Amino acid sequence: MNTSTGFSEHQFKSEVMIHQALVYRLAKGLLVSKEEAEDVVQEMMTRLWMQKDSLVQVDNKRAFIAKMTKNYCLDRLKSKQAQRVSWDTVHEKLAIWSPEQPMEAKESVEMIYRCLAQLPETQRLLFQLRDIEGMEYQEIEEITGMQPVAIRVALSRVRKTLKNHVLQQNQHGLTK
Amino acid sequence: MKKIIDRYAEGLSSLAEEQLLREWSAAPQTDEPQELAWAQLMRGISQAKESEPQQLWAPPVRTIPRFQRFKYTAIAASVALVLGTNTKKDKPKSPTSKHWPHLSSFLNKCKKPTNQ
Repeated sequence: MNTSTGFSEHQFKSEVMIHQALVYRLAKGLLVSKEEAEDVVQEMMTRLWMQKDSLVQVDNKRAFIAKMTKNYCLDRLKSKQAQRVSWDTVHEKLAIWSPEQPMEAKESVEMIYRCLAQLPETQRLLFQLRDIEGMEYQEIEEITGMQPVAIRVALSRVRKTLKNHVLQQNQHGLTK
Repeated sequence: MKKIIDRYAEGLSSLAEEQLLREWSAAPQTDEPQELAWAQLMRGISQAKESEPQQLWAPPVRTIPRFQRFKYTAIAASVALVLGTNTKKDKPKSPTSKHWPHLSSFLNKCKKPTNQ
């Protein structure tokens, strides 16, 4: 199917560039910043373009790109460039929604990201990969190198945490 | 639906079940606060799936180097010069023409007006 000479520009567009949104969402979830996520998209795509000849040998390009993005974001988190943002600034950094969007949907997404920002990177990453990107467990294992049971346990924990957070917000809203 | 929610909460649900949950969350027929919280979470996830970068990356445009055309012109001129000097083999060669043929031909050209 693929030639050994590397990707053509057309192939690169159809097989790699279609994952830009995945890179963006993963980076946004991990770095909790829209601006940084935009930077990561540019950086990742440039890196992938530079090594497009070796990409031919990669079977699962989505998993490969997700893993590359994860590693890059975690490195960036460790560096001084990307410091953890506080709960209060998450709202500003995730101001991605246009005024036309329904308020409830906007609040739900912001609530999710606010809560995610407080969780460990692994839980954030797993939630992103499974619930937002809809990846199979096998693919998640490939990206994270975690055991299936550990993935399910961590996912269960993050989902319950998020649900309890939503519940608390709703109760708080009702009692106000 | 409660069973699926429980499976989802325990990390045991399949992708198909999770899709069902998202569809259910658009209009959940329940008053139970726990289920409503799950529905709200699922709606948030559905919205988060749609976010995309504002600035998309594009492959670099391949441009012709600025001096590319001059490179070929220079090569052609050099070849022409070398061939031009090599055609004058029948003339007796002075020491100058032996060691510096280009200089010799230049000097010959300079001498021509004085001979006439």
